Amino acid sequence: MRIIIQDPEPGEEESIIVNVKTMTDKIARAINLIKSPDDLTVYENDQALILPVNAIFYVESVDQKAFVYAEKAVYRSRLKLYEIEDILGGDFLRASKQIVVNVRKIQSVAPAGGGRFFATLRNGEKIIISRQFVSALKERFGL
Amino acid sequence: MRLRKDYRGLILRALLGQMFKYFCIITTILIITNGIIARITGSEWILYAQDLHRFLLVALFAVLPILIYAFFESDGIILRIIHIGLTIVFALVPLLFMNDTGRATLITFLFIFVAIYGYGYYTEKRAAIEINKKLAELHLEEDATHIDKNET
Repeated sequence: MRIIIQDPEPGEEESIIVNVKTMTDKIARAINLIKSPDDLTVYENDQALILPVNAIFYVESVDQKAFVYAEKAVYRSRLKLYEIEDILGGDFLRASKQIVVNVRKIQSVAPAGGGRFFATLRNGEKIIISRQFVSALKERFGL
Repeated sequence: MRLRKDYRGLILRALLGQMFKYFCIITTILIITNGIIARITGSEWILYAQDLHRFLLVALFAVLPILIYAFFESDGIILRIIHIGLTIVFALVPLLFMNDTGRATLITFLFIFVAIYGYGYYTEKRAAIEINKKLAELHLEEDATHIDKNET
Protein backbone atom coordinates (compact mmCIF):
# COMPACT_ATOMS: atom_id res chain seq x y z
CA MET A 1 0.00 0.00 0.00
CA ARG A 2 1.39 3.41 -0.93
CA ILE A 3 0.97 6.38 1.37
CA ILE A 4 1.09 9.77 -0.35
CA ILE A 5 1.24 13.00 1.65
CA GLN A 6 1.00 16.21 -0.34
CA ASP A 7 0.38 19.88 0.30
CA PRO A 8 -3.13 21.09 -0.66
CA GLU A 9 -3.54 23.67 -3.41
CA PRO A 10 -3.95 27.25 -2.09
CA GLY A 11 -7.51 27.66 -0.88
CA GLU A 12 -8.11 23.92 -1.01
CA GLU A 13 -9.50 22.30 2.13
CA GLU A 14 -7.34 19.68 3.85
CA SER A 15 -8.73 16.23 3.19
CA ILE A 16 -7.87 12.58 3.43
CA ILE A 17 -8.88 10.29 0.57
CA VAL A 18 -8.72 6.54 1.09
CA ASN A 19 -8.54 4.39 -2.06
CA VAL A 20 -9.20 0.78 -1.12
CA LYS A 21 -10.66 -2.24 -2.87
CA THR A 22 -11.57 -3.91 0.45
CA MET A 23 -12.10 -2.17 3.77
CA THR A 24 -9.94 -4.00 6.31
CA ASP A 25 -10.05 -3.68 10.10
CA LYS A 26 -6.74 -1.83 10.07
CA ILE A 27 -8.00 0.78 7.60
CA ALA A 28 -11.30 1.11 9.46
CA ARG A 29 -9.39 1.72 12.69
CA ALA A 30 -7.18 4.31 11.03
CA ILE A 31 -10.26 6.14 9.72
CA ASN A 32 -11.90 5.96 13.13
CA LEU A 33 -8.78 7.38 14.69
CA ILE A 34 -8.75 10.30 12.28
CA LYS A 35 -12.44 11.00 12.82
CA SER A 36 -12.15 10.88 16.62
CA PRO A 37 -11.55 14.11 18.43
CA ASP A 38 -8.15 14.81 19.99
CA ASP A 39 -9.54 16.11 23.24
CA LEU A 40 -12.58 16.34 25.45
CA THR A 41 -13.88 19.16 27.62
CA VAL A 42 -14.06 18.12 31.26
CA TYR A 43 -14.60 19.92 34.54
CA GLU A 44 -12.66 19.99 37.77
CA ASN A 45 -14.30 21.96 40.59
CA ASP A 46 -16.51 23.65 37.99
CA GLN A 47 -13.45 24.79 36.06
CA ALA A 48 -13.41 23.70 32.41
CA LEU A 49 -10.33 21.86 31.19
CA ILE A 50 -9.30 20.39 27.87
CA LEU A 51 -8.24 16.78 28.39
CA PRO A 52 -6.41 14.94 25.59
CA VAL A 53 -8.36 11.85 24.62
CA ASN A 54 -5.25 9.68 24.85
CA ALA A 55 -5.02 10.60 28.55
CA ILE A 56 -8.45 9.12 29.29
CA PHE A 57 -8.39 5.68 30.90
CA TYR A 58 -12.13 5.16 31.23
CA VAL A 59 -15.41 6.99 31.70
CA GLU A 60 -17.90 5.88 34.33
CA SER A 61 -21.50 6.84 34.83
CA VAL A 62 -22.67 7.15 38.44
CA ASP A 63 -26.13 8.51 39.30
CA GLN A 64 -26.50 9.65 35.69
CA LYS A 65 -23.34 11.74 35.92
CA ALA A 66 -20.28 10.93 33.82
CA PHE A 67 -16.85 10.84 35.45
CA VAL A 68 -13.73 10.83 33.28
CA TYR A 69 -10.78 8.95 34.77
CA ALA A 70 -7.23 9.87 33.75
CA GLU A 71 -4.16 8.14 35.17
CA LYS A 72 -4.45 9.68 38.62
CA ALA A 73 -7.16 12.34 38.40
CA VAL A 74 -10.93 12.22 37.99
CA TYR A 75 -12.96 14.83 36.15
CA ARG A 76 -16.64 15.48 35.56
CA SER A 77 -18.22 15.71 32.16
CA ARG A 78 -21.48 17.42 31.36
CA LEU A 79 -22.25 14.89 28.67
CA LYS A 80 -24.02 11.57 29.17
CA LEU A 81 -22.02 8.35 28.90
CA TYR A 82 -23.58 7.36 25.57
CA GLU A 83 -22.79 10.81 24.14
CA ILE A 84 -19.16 10.52 25.22
CA GLU A 85 -19.03 7.03 23.76
CA ASP A 86 -20.33 8.35 20.41
CA ILE A 87 -17.87 11.24 20.40
CA LEU A 88 -14.80 9.24 21.37
CA GLY A 89 -15.53 6.13 19.29
CA GLY A 90 -12.40 4.36 17.96
CA ASP A 91 -10.42 2.90 20.83
CA PHE A 92 -13.18 3.41 23.40
CA LEU A 93 -15.33 0.37 24.01
CA ARG A 94 -18.26 -0.23 26.33
CA ALA A 95 -17.12 -2.46 29.22
CA SER A 96 -20.40 -2.47 31.11
CA LYS A 97 -23.60 -0.45 31.35
CA GLN A 98 -21.72 2.13 33.42
CA ILE A 99 -18.22 2.11 31.95
CA VAL A 100 -16.58 2.96 28.63
CA VAL A 101 -12.89 2.02 28.60
CA ASN A 102 -9.94 3.12 26.46
CA VAL A 103 -8.66 -0.14 25.02
CA ARG A 104 -5.13 1.31 24.72
CA LYS A 105 -5.03 1.76 28.48
CA ILE A 106 -5.78 -1.90 29.22
CA GLN A 107 -2.64 -3.64 30.43
CA SER A 108 -4.09 -7.17 30.58
CA VAL A 109 -7.32 -9.13 30.99
CA ALA A 110 -8.17 -12.22 33.03
CA PRO A 111 -11.32 -14.35 33.28
CA ALA A 112 -13.60 -13.39 36.14
CA GLY A 113 -16.02 -16.31 35.81
CA GLY A 114 -19.52 -16.24 34.37
CA GLY A 115 -18.25 -14.99 31.00
CA ARG A 116 -16.88 -11.77 32.46
CA PHE A 117 -13.32 -10.46 32.38
CA PHE A 118 -11.21 -8.44 34.79
CA ALA A 119 -9.31 -5.73 32.91
CA THR A 120 -6.22 -4.36 34.64
CA LEU A 121 -5.45 -0.87 33.40
CA ARG A 122 -2.00 0.63 32.97
CA ASN A 123 -2.38 2.65 36.19
CA GLY A 124 -3.14 -0.53 38.18
CA GLU A 125 -6.88 -0.02 38.44
CA LYS A 126 -9.16 -2.97 37.71
CA ILE A 127 -12.53 -2.86 36.03
CA ILE A 128 -14.98 -5.58 35.08
CA ILE A 129 -15.92 -6.21 31.47
CA SER A 130 -19.46 -7.60 31.46
CA ARG A 131 -20.32 -10.74 29.55
CA GLN A 132 -22.43 -8.92 26.98
CA PHE A 133 -19.55 -6.62 26.03
CA VAL A 134 -16.75 -9.19 25.88
CA SER A 135 -17.59 -10.03 22.27
CA ALA A 136 -17.00 -6.40 21.24
CA LEU A 137 -13.57 -6.56 22.86
CA LYS A 138 -12.74 -9.79 21.04
CA GLU A 139 -13.98 -8.28 17.76
CA ARG A 140 -11.78 -5.24 18.35
CA PHE A 141 -8.77 -7.54 18.25
CA GLY A 142 -10.06 -9.65 15.39
CA LEU A 143 -10.72 -12.71 17.56
CA MET B 1 1.62 -35.32 31.92
CA ARG B 2 1.58 -31.79 33.25
CA LEU B 3 -0.81 -28.99 32.42
CA ARG B 4 0.67 -26.09 30.52
CA LYS B 5 1.77 -23.31 32.80
CA ASP B 6 -0.97 -21.01 31.49
CA TYR B 7 -3.74 -23.34 32.64
CA ARG B 8 -2.16 -24.68 35.80
CA GLY B 9 -4.50 -24.29 38.74
CA LEU B 10 -7.45 -23.78 36.39
CA ILE B 11 -9.32 -26.91 37.50
CA LEU B 12 -8.52 -26.31 41.15
CA ARG B 13 -9.81 -22.77 40.95
CA ALA B 14 -12.97 -23.98 39.20
CA LEU B 15 -13.52 -26.51 41.99
CA LEU B 16 -12.90 -24.17 44.89
CA GLY B 17 -14.36 -21.05 43.42
CA GLN B 18 -17.73 -20.39 41.86
CA MET B 19 -18.67 -24.08 41.61
CA PHE B 20 -19.72 -24.38 45.25
CA LYS B 21 -21.94 -21.37 44.88
CA TYR B 22 -23.85 -23.14 42.09
CA PHE B 23 -23.85 -26.35 44.10
CA CYS B 24 -25.56 -24.52 46.94
CA ILE B 25 -28.09 -22.92 44.63
CA ILE B 26 -28.96 -26.30 43.12
CA THR B 27 -29.23 -27.84 46.59
CA THR B 28 -31.64 -25.12 47.64
CA ILE B 29 -33.75 -25.56 44.51
CA LEU B 30 -33.85 -29.35 44.98
CA ILE B 31 -34.76 -29.04 48.64
CA ILE B 32 -37.52 -26.53 48.00
CA THR B 33 -38.86 -28.59 45.07
CA ASN B 34 -38.74 -31.76 47.14
CA GLY B 35 -40.49 -30.02 50.01
CA ILE B 36 -43.33 -28.95 47.74
CA ILE B 37 -43.61 -32.40 46.11
CA ALA B 38 -43.42 -34.13 49.51
CA ARG B 39 -46.21 -31.92 50.85
CA ILE B 40 -48.41 -32.66 47.86
CA THR B 41 -47.70 -36.35 47.28
CA GLY B 42 -46.22 -37.55 50.57
CA SER B 43 -43.25 -39.05 48.65
CA GLU B 44 -39.67 -39.15 49.96
CA TRP B 45 -37.58 -38.93 46.85
CA ILE B 46 -34.64 -36.94 48.10
CA LEU B 47 -35.21 -35.89 51.66
CA TYR B 48 -36.02 -37.86 54.74
CA ALA B 49 -37.43 -34.66 56.19
CA GLN B 50 -41.11 -34.23 55.63
CA ASP B 51 -41.78 -32.14 58.66
CA LEU B 52 -41.74 -28.45 57.96
CA HIS B 53 -39.26 -27.53 60.67
CA ARG B 54 -36.67 -30.06 59.47
CA PHE B 55 -37.23 -28.91 55.89
CA LEU B 56 -36.63 -25.28 56.88
CA LEU B 57 -33.49 -26.21 58.84
CA VAL B 58 -32.00 -28.03 55.86
CA ALA B 59 -32.97 -25.19 53.52
CA LEU B 60 -31.24 -22.73 55.85
CA PHE B 61 -28.01 -24.72 55.73
CA ALA B 62 -28.16 -24.74 51.96
CA VAL B 63 -28.85 -21.00 51.73
CA LEU B 64 -26.14 -19.93 54.21
CA PRO B 65 -23.22 -20.52 51.80
CA ILE B 66 -24.98 -18.33 49.22
CA LEU B 67 -25.33 -15.60 51.82
CA ILE B 68 -21.68 -16.00 52.74
CA TYR B 69 -20.71 -15.49 49.10
CA ALA B 70 -23.06 -12.54 48.78
CA PHE B 71 -21.82 -10.64 51.83
CA PHE B 72 -18.28 -11.80 52.45
CA GLU B 73 -16.41 -11.69 49.14
CA SER B 74 -12.79 -10.96 49.81
CA ASP B 75 -9.50 -10.75 47.96
CA GLY B 76 -7.38 -11.60 51.00
CA ILE B 77 -6.03 -15.16 50.84
CA ILE B 78 -6.75 -16.08 54.49
CA LEU B 79 -10.29 -14.73 54.33
CA ARG B 80 -10.79 -16.53 51.06
CA ILE B 81 -9.69 -19.85 52.61
CA ILE B 82 -12.03 -19.33 55.58
CA HIS B 83 -14.83 -18.32 53.23
CA ILE B 84 -14.43 -21.38 51.04
CA GLY B 85 -14.01 -23.68 54.07
CA LEU B 86 -17.25 -22.47 55.64
CA THR B 87 -19.00 -22.79 52.30
CA ILE B 88 -17.88 -26.39 51.90
CA VAL B 89 -19.04 -27.27 55.44
CA PHE B 90 -22.46 -25.69 55.04
CA ALA B 91 -22.95 -27.01 51.53
CA LEU B 92 -22.27 -30.60 52.60
CA VAL B 93 -24.67 -30.56 55.59
CA PRO B 94 -27.80 -31.18 53.48
CA LEU B 95 -26.21 -34.42 52.27
CA LEU B 96 -26.56 -35.76 55.82
CA PHE B 97 -30.34 -35.47 55.56
CA MET B 98 -30.62 -37.23 52.24
CA ASN B 99 -31.10 -40.82 51.22
CA ASP B 100 -28.76 -42.56 48.75
CA THR B 101 -30.79 -41.43 45.74
CA GLY B 102 -30.58 -37.83 46.84
CA ARG B 103 -26.86 -38.01 47.48
CA ALA B 104 -26.20 -39.66 44.14
CA THR B 105 -28.31 -37.00 42.40
CA LEU B 106 -26.49 -34.15 44.05
CA ILE B 107 -23.05 -35.58 43.45
CA THR B 108 -23.97 -36.10 39.79
CA PHE B 109 -25.05 -32.47 39.56
CA LEU B 110 -21.76 -31.52 41.21
CA PHE B 111 -19.67 -33.27 38.57
CA ILE B 112 -21.79 -31.90 35.74
CA PHE B 113 -21.30 -28.38 37.05
CA VAL B 114 -17.56 -28.88 37.49
CA ALA B 115 -17.35 -30.10 33.87
CA ILE B 116 -19.46 -27.26 32.47
CA TYR B 117 -17.86 -24.58 34.56
CA GLY B 118 -14.35 -25.94 34.04
CA TYR B 119 -14.83 -25.99 30.27
CA GLY B 120 -16.29 -22.48 30.31
CA TYR B 121 -13.36 -21.19 32.36
CA TYR B 122 -10.89 -22.96 30.03
CA THR B 123 -12.32 -21.26 26.92
CA GLU B 124 -12.35 -17.89 28.67
CA LYS B 125 -8.75 -18.34 29.76
CA ARG B 126 -7.74 -19.10 26.16
CA ALA B 127 -9.57 -15.99 24.95
CA ALA B 128 -7.84 -13.89 27.63
CA ILE B 129 -4.43 -15.17 26.52
CA GLU B 130 -5.16 -14.21 22.89
CA ILE B 131 -6.43 -10.77 23.92
CA ASN B 132 -3.35 -10.20 26.08
CA LYS B 133 -1.09 -11.05 23.12
CA LYS B 134 -2.91 -8.44 21.01
CA LEU B 135 -2.67 -5.91 23.84
CA ALA B 136 1.08 -6.52 24.09
CA GLU B 137 1.41 -5.86 20.33
CA LEU B 138 -0.62 -2.68 20.71
CA HIS B 139 1.60 -1.45 23.54
CA LEU B 140 4.73 -2.22 21.52
CA GLU B 141 3.36 -0.21 18.57
CA GLU B 142 2.56 2.72 20.85
CA ASP B 143 5.97 2.63 22.52
CA ALA B 144 7.67 2.50 19.11
CA THR B 145 5.60 5.50 17.89
CA HIS B 146 6.48 7.39 21.07
CA ILE B 147 10.19 6.73 20.55
CA ASP B 148 9.97 7.82 16.87
CA LYS B 149 8.25 11.07 17.84
CA ASN B 150 10.87 11.77 20.49
CA GLU B 151 13.67 11.16 18.01
CA THR B 152 12.13 13.53 15.45
